[in-house]
Amino acid sequence: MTEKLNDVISRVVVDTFEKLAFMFAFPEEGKGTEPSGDLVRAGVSFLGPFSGQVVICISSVVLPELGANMLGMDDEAGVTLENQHDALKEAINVICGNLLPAIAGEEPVFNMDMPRILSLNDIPSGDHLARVRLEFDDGHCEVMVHLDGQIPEEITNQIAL
Amino acid sequence: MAINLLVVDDSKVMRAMVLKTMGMAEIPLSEVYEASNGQEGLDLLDNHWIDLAIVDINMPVMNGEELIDRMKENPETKDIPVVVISTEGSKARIERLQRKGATFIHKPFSAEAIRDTVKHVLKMEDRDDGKIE
Repeated sequence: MTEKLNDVISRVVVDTFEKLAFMFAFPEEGKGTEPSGDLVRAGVSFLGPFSGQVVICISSVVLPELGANMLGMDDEAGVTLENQHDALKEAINVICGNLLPAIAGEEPVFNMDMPRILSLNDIPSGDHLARVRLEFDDGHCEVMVHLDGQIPEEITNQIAL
Repeated sequence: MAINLLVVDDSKVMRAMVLKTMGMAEIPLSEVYEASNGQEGLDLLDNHWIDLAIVDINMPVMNGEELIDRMKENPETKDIPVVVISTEGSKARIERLQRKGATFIHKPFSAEAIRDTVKHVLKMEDRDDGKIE
């Protein structure tokens, strides 16, 4: 299931960055490169038939382009740190909002928290359900799905993973 | 016909994206008002003529669904078209919003989706040059 779930996450992340910010991300082959350098993390918690958190860890060099493209600005240097973080929060919000129905279908109802910027200590320490790494022209990102428990059997039976 | 637009979203970046996309879709705008939650949106609706409200759902202070409920309770705002732009994926919730009279656009959205939806809810017509009026 994990491999198919990773494919679903990759598709949602690639689609989100392309449609939201005209940025192209590519799944890394094999294990991929551990994101390094200056990193920024953001996450969204969700509650529903299964609960947990979707977390993105992204190279900080990617954020000015993300912010500029979402704001429609030509000059990346003019994108404030606040706007860069706002853009990243919106990106993970859209990723989570599209990922949950891609996993569980359109019938279950999930409540999503507000997206927030995370410190390293905020990242759940337990096992993750899935993790994908993607690369941009100038950096990397990693998206992880952490669960507080297990996906109920009635959902795993329904999903096409 | 240029319209007065209210955009209600707690993300400044998303409000900017909506306005950028409205421009790309060549929707003629007159006045644009921005609010970061439903309560701010209601305050703006009290004081300004609004032709169309574009509303997020998941917001602090007052969410988009409560804003729509309050608009529908008020004779002065109940007929203002509301377009919800959200990541919401639950069919039941989307149908509930539609029963309240809102039109739903899923994030991430395209300029074409905005253009077609706004044209539809405001009953705008295409001109010969492809622009709308």
